[in-house]
Amino acid sequence: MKILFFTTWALLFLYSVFILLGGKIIPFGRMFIYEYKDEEVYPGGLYAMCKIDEFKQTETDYEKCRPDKNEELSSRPRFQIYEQRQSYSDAPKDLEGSDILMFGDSFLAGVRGLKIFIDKGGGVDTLKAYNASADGIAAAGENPLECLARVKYQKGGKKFLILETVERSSLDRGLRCADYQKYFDLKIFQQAIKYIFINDHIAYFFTDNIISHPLLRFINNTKFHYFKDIDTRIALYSENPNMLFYFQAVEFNKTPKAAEDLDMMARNIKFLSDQLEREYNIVLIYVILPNKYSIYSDFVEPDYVYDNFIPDINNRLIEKGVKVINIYTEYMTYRSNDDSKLLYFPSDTHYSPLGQDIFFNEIVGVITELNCTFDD
Amino acid sequence: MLFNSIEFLVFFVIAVTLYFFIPHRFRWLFLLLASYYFYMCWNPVYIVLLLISTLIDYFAGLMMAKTGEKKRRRKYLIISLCSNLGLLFAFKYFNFFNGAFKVLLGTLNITYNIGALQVLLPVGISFYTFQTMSYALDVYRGEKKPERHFGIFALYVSFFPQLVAGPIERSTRLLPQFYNKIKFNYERTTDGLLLMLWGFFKKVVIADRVAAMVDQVYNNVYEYQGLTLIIATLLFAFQIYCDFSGYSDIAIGAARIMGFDLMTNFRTPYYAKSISEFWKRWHISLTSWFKDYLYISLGGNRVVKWRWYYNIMIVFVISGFWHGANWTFIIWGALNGFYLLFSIWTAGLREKIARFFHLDKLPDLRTIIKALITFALVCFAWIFFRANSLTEAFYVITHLFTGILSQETLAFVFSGLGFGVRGFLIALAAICLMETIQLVQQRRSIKEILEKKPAALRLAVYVGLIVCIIMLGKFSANQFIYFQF
Repeated sequence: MKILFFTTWALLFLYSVFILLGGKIIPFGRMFIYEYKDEEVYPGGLYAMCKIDEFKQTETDYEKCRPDKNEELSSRPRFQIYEQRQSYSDAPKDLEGSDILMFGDSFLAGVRGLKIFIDKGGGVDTLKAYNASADGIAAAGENPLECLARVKYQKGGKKFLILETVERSSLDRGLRCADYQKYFDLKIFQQAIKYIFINDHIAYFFTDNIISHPLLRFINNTKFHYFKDIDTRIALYSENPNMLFYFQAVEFNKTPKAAEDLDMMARNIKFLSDQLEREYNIVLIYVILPNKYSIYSDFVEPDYVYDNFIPDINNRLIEKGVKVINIYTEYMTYRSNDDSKLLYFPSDTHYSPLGQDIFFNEIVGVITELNCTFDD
Repeated sequence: MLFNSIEFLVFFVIAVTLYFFIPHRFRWLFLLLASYYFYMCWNPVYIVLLLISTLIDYFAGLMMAKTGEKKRRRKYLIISLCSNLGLLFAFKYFNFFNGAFKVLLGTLNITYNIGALQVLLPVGISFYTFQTMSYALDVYRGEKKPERHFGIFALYVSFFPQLVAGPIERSTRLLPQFYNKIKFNYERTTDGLLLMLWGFFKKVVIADRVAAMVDQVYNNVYEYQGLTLIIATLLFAFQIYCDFSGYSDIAIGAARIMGFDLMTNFRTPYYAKSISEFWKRWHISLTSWFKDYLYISLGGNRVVKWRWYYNIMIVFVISGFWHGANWTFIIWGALNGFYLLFSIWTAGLREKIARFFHLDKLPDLRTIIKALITFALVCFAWIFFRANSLTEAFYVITHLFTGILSQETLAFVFSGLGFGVRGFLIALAAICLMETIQLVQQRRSIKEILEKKPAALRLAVYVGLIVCIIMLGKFSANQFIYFQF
């Protein structure tokens, strides 16, 4: 027994050191992260959390998320996406060299920028949009005022700034976005403290390294098969179609929002919009990407009635003169008209290529409208 | 850093291994750094509060020992108590009093504009504050010589296994242990590991599994009535017991592996045959703290009757208030105090009733009835502890028997309170298993039973327990309930 005990303890110690190193030294950790095989097209963040094979996305599922090919549009596209990993010589490289700045969280990840083609009767105007979040200029969800001050952005010609935020974080960020200055000076110190004391990567590395992953996958599948137990970060799931719902999103939707908070959020976004205009000559376009649960709650809870958070806050912002893109309404319109394809990946919190296509088309629509207004 | 998190397991395995390789003279420093790191993983800034509390009591202890004059000793004690209680007041109770004051002045039409403090409650503040206060009181009373080694004293305040939720250790017990030369001991280590595993079982298999069901009902109480409320309250009784005693087991086991003995915090409280016995079995380190430093200081039971009753009520109300700055906790404490007084007043009457029903001739049956009544009373008091507000607590109480067996209620209960029958049955089976083991443990130590079994069988038990935890546990990184206190 003693030999067994000491051997087990030694292995545990070595494994703990491995997890610590992998969780703290990211390049080291990356070398040992479990990689999904090619046939698993897009595993999805929620699948990665629960690791239940029933929810793994297949090629067929992926096809259900692609927009239909429109022959007319493909010959005369409204926008072109620069993907983060691809190198386009004419992709905007920085904030100054672009016409539109994009600040966002994970929905815009992977998109380095956009080229927007605006039909102007006689010709086509091309505007370049640069995603500051994709290049690490802005942290995900960072306040643009804080970021622009940090990179010493200089006021120049008129530009647009698309601020994208996911619904579940929007209220929190909206309530804090007027206090941006007090976080700024402590940034480096805060990052150092975060690196030392916040150990989120340790848990991630533990569950997703090449040693634990197969074992956890087996355990999670067995638990789901026999007890219907699923990772607690998955609040709800549907089996027809197979779809996972993130707990933060469901909690956010089900939490009543105080009218004072909505007022405060609208006031703060208006403040942000005014500051951007005054300090940098930038026009803010604010967009909240709906939680998957806001769009597809009928798959899991048909009785649930959406609290209209996005339309409500958008109306308050419009009243204050802030430009918004109302993606919630666009998605619901798509669902009521067609609904043959999915707007969100079934095993992820993010929108599908179809959802993205609708979002970017809306950007083009709003930019076209605003561009004409400013030209006039 | 939560005990039921991967980061704690990684931290613990590395810390314990290094601990035994470090020479004895440096171990205090290693444990101190590990403890501070453990605390700072929750919120680095609040380490300052821990340091303030440590510094004040360290110097107060030294100053009290330096002077023989009682008046001056008292002065230093008051400085220590006021500073500790001041911190506790500012971070835990200010908003409660501020709110109550605002309501009071509002009724008198007086404008009061002091806003609420926007601060996070520092984890474990009630625990380490009471631990350091016990040190200052012991030194003042002359029961303990002041600790001169600042590092050892700081370690006593911050020792990571019991820093955030106890057991609240006395300086007389814990401080001398830091000077012991501890060598690795195989039996002690396996004993500690088994206790930790048992704690994890209680926490992740029972408490966290049941928590979702209890939260579903208690966070939406107005949607439920009858049997649903009764079952949710019973489940909460097991949730809080498994959550807190599970934490204590992990803490005691972790300390034992490193060679430290922490005090027992729970002794199967739901087997208590009276309320007074329940309080001798539940959160023993806090109950004994209140007994030694408050109840006895007030005169205990060596006073006139009305004063004795007053002492009991005061201790229970303050004990309730210690748990949280909310009227629900105050009422919970007061209710327990009332139970105790009522049991004192009706002792003779209850004896007569027992004789009338010939229960005195059936001692086992009488024991079972007493334990069931005590459990029912405790569960009733838990309603106040768990409810989000007094209004909700009163709603639960007034609707416990409304439509108790209605079709809708039964359907909801049989759906596992909305979480599926399988999950509900697993929770019930785990509770039954725990109770069976505790029942056996009352007569004979499980450890002793296991020690006499063949190695293969022992190994099977250990592996079985680990498999049970992994396969049936809910790994939601749920906080321990007592962290909020």
